[in-house]
Amino acid sequence: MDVKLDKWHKCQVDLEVLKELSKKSDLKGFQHVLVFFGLLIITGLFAYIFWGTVWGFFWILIYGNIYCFANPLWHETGHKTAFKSNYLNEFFYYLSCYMACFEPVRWKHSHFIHHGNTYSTENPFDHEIEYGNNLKKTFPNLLREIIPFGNLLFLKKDITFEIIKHSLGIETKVMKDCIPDKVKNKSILISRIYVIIWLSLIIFSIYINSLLPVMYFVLPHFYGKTLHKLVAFTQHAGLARNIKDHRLTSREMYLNPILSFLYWKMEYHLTHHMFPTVPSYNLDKLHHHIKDQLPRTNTGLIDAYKEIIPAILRQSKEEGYYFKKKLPQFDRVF
Amino acid sequence: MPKIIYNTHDNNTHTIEVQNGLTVMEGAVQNDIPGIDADCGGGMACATCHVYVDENWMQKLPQKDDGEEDMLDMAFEPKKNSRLSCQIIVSDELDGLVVNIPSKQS
Repeated sequence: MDVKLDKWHKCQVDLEVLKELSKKSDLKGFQHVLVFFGLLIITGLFAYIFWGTVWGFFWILIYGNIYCFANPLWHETGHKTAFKSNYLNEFFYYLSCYMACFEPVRWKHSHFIHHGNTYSTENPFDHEIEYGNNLKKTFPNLLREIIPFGNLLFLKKDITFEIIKHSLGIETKVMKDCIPDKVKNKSILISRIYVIIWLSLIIFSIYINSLLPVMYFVLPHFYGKTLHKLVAFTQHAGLARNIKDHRLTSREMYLNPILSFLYWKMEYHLTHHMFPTVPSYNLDKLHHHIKDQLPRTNTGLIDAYKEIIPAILRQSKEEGYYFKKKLPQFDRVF
Repeated sequence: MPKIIYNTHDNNTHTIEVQNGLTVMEGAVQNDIPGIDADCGGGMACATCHVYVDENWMQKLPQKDDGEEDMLDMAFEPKKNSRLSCQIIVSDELDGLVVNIPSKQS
């Protein structure tokens, strides 16, 4: 688990501004999770009321797509920036890990490597870039993720299967590469707890003869990932690999306020990688301080995918290719 | 292998053998020592691997560069003996190095 110490490029920003923007707040964190879980309760309730009709299908799909935005909550609490108080970060970290089907020990350590070695396909390999290893399959992998139940059909490729393997004590490549020996048993134990929860919910669903318990708490990962995956895929897709410059490996993008809220403003992904201790609710402010030093910010999802789709299709034939971001201050590309 | 002594804020001491070439931060992360977050993974883009180096060891460490100094300015309660543990590379000369981990990182 070596960390390459060559320094990443960092934009110039006034230290006082950075200090101010790095301040965390329990209140802002609470506002966010209250709205998020409030939306889940409301949409879940509508799904319950209309279950068995077309509208039930509609509401469960909305519920699942919101549920899968637990992933950015995992991320924000993992960085301990969602709340000021660590116990709140810790509580919501474990909760959102379950919701995102992320085993907390594995993802804590793989995320540590992701930040130190963003989009690295060399040693150490960045396991969080699920498409980085086999560029030939990026596009089909994306489709598998965004089509409801696509991952269930190819379960062996899904992260739930990794949890099942860990629960059986099988040492996967990601466990070998990322998880320190001292905490491997903890990772195995939590994987087993996840599997027990899933099995209990499946048995409960069969017992009460209703799909709803699994639709609420097990299957959103399989049917509700479309929106989150479409947004999160933009973070690094098609960009440079194995370069220690976030401006070339990460994408900055504007999003509409609803998606931006659900996504904890991770559309400012380059800014986040450069300054990971700035809470999400200040990332847009920091972005405006440094945007002149960044490549052009994508204007939205469509604009981002205009870069991504041709790039990943070309990468499937030409692995060395990547979309070259133009750096403003030197007016050059790498 | 050199031994690094990590004193955590809860008054526990962890004596860990850390491979030459790794950093004091990596030694902590790999051994699940509480109190070192290392949010940026070692890129010196945060101050969440902040430690207080035992005064007796301060002179034996390489000087801080400007970037580290700036980041330490962002750390929780920085002192004269504050360092970013991601910038301290372990070697035989640092066998027995003592670092104290602050009560929180940010």
